[in-house]
Amino acid sequence: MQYKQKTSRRGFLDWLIGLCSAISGAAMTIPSLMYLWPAAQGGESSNVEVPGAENLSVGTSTKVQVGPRAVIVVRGRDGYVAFSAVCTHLGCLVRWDPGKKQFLCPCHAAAFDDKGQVVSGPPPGPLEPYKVKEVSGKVFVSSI
Amino acid sequence: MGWQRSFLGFFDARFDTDTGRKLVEKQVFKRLPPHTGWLHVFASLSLFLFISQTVTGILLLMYYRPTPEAAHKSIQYLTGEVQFGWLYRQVHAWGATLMIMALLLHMCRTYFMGAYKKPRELTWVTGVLLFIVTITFGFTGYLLPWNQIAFWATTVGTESAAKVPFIGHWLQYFLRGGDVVAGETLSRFFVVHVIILPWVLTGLVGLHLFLMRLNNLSSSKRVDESEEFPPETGIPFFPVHAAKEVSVLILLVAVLVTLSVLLPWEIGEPADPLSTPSHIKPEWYFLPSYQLLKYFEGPYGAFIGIIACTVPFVLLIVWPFVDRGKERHPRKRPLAVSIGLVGLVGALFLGWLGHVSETDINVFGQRYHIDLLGWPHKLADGEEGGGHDGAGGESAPGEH
Amino acid sequence: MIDIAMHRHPRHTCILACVYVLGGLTTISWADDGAAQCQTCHPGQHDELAKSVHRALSCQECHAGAASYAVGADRLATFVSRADGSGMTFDHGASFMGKPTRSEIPDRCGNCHADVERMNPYGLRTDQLARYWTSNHGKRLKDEGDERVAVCVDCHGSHDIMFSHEPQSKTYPLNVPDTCGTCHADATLMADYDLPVEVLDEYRMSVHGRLLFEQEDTGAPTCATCHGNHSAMPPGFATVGAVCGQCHEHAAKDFATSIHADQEEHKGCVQCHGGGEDRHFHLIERITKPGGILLQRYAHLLSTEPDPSAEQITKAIHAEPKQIITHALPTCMECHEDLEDDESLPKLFGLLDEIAAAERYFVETARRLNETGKGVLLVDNQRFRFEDAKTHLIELAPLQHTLDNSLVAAKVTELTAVCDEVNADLEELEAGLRWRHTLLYPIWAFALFFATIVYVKYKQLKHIWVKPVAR
Repeated sequence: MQYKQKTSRRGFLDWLIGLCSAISGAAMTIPSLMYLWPAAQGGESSNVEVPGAENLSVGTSTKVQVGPRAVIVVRGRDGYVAFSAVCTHLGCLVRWDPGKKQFLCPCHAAAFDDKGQVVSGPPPGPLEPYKVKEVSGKVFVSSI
Repeated sequence: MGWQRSFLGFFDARFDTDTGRKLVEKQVFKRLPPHTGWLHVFASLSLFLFISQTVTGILLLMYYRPTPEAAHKSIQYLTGEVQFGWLYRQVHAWGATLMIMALLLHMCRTYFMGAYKKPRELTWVTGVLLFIVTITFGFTGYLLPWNQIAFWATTVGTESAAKVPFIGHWLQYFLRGGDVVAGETLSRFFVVHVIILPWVLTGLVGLHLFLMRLNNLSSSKRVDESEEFPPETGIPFFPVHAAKEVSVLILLVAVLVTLSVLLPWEIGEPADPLSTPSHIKPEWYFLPSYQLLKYFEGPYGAFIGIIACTVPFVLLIVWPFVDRGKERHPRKRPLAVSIGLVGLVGALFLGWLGHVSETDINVFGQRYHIDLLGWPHKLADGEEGGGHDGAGGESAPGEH
Repeated sequence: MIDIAMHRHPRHTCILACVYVLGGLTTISWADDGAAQCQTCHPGQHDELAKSVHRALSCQECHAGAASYAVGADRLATFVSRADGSGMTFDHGASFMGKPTRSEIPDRCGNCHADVERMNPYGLRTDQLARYWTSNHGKRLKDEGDERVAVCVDCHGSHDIMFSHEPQSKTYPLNVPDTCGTCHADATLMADYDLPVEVLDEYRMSVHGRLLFEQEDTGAPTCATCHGNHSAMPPGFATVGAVCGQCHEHAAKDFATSIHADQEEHKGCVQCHGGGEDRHFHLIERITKPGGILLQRYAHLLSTEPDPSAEQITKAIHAEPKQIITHALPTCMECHEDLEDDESLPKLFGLLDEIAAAERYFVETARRLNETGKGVLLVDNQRFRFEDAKTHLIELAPLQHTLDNSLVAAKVTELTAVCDEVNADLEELEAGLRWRHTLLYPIWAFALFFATIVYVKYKQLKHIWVKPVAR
């Protein structure tokens, strides 16, 4: 009888230790999985300065890298606009045509207007806009 | 348990699993000497911290970028943006400190209990090597965040390498990968820290454990006495000793997390090779050497200084062959214990001097400025000791 | 190429030809036939020319004459001028123009430098000569034949002319004040013109001079920036705003809207910034302090006083909060005789406290941002937002020139709002750190419980597995 009681108490202790071990294991594993899950990309490289933007004449463009993305910056009459240079069709990099005031994709002759909206061609959606900020003569681009 | 049998049966049918199982069981259930107690857990703590360092280190590597341009930013990113990134960075940084503490305590235990004596001399030697490798880990890892303190501490640290006789400048050039601490240094330290040292340490740990298992743990008996003990009085490593260690490990994890939360290591400002911050000091485990080096000036002094810093380590390595007394119990070896205590207190005192040098301290309401060499200077009320710092800084060991 | 040029302008063909032919010859000291060349007798000038911007030119470009003279070495010695001037005059040929007199120099240089076609390939402007004649220097030279005025060579050198971006050049920004000072700091010379020689020292002490000499900022304005270079002329008080406004665009624009802009007696910028009439208006100084200086002073205060009060901060960062009054007071009183009773004055000065408070808030926020960034938080976005605060702070200074309290107050509000936003963000980030602290309680409760049950288990296991050692 005495022996049996002992084993049941021991059994409960083992169960408790197992439970605590499981909790500890989870407490160590779950954060590391969350850690490995990619954090917001580009967080590290937000607010990228556009080099030479102040020397850009009105109607012309330049490209800048924001995080992993190429961004095209155009100086318009009212300031700068920036869009992801990646065409929404197949991912080619678009270029700015100052004469037509359009972004042209060299791959499938797609055209986007100066607000990034599709004018012609196969792209399924508009160019992804980027935030542009002017600070004391310098131009910064960041994802929205 | 049908699946278990068939699963193990798969291996049984193909390999001689019995021998392997017996070997493992022999090791796992091996009986440790009856007096194995709480002081023996420091070894396992060190091992656990090494594993923790490996795991957190691998996790940090997922986001860390070892270039001067990106290193600091990537640390900021992983600390600020990545889920639990702050935790792994802090646990890694604190883990390093605790690992060195655990190693030191383990060494003290071994020393004062005479466990390094015959037949375990080589176990002790591998242990000292493990300690040296671990502080090298600390030195190389310290640079990786590429912040001001890391950059300049490494500059000062590698500067003392130039004091090594004959090959000093060559050695320094080699360590830095150039004339100054720069991107090349970062690459080198990175490779040493994440590739070379981990494998060296793993190998040494394996050897250390192997030797330890060959001779079992030491008893407190004389060297020429038999260490045999009745098997039933021995403590089985598993599950008995292991349970004891796990209970301490759990508390260690809590301490590690607490330190990480309450005393986080700052990211600091990005390294700037053009401006030296004041009060650059190495990590605590280098402070005794740092302070000792200060007392040796000039070409011959530097020579002697480097030797003075090396002697303790050499002495540690050869100690089992120097101290050939038969006694293990500390009370029966007054000389060895005294030497150990003097060395320990000396190192602690030098470390403390290194810590307070070039700062102002308060003793019973009287302010003192501690100069470079550790001499206190009385300060009048309101006077600042800062003025001495500039002069002191110029003659810091790294500045020559 | 010569053919094309010939159609266009015969004279230039000659010059071009000379450049091609003589450019090659000047490198040889003695021709094969033993003829003497310019550098045979004028080695110093030749060496200087060889290092100068004009190194591709020959002596004949400016002095005419021949490139080589059929004179043997033996005869040449007789011509070399002696200390007593007794040597024989060397006949340089009919075309030789010799060393120009000071009054000839501008036209001599203008031969090329005022020639559009000649300067075109170098992309150089050609209006220097025309501008020179409009300068006080040029006018005196032309109208009064005063040869003591500065001519081209005084500022540019003669044979040793260099590009102004070369640090050895006399027109390199850091050297300009001394170049002008050659004459303008010369008391005896200036006495004849009744011009003050203190201007150079005043400039050195001014905000611009310190920028140039102490920080070696070559973008800092030198004498020429305000006075013009070739058309050097002191700006009158009517035009001083336009001169300053070339750089201080906002201040000039804002000042133009103020009531002071219409007052004929008001001397414009230099009235308050010129260091006073007795200082010849060259001791130009700022009255408010820009952000960088405020931050420096705050950092210095914190190094001695870790926990300063609001008054201490204001006093430290804005060492002279009412400086505008004390500084400009005598000038103000010229028109505002009853400063105490004048209704129009105290209203602007009443805003100084608000401005000081906003500046204090700015430095505190900047400091906090910096400290937080050094710790364990990522504050890049807050830093970026704070750029706006810097902009507002910078704009605040020129805006005060409008004397329009509502505009200044609005700017102060904007500045405060950005600081508020950044502080709120930091607050939120730091709150995120606090839950980590809270989390420690359950972690320790769990760890202690877990460690205890494992310890109990250890005791049990020891009891089962280990036989006590017989003592």
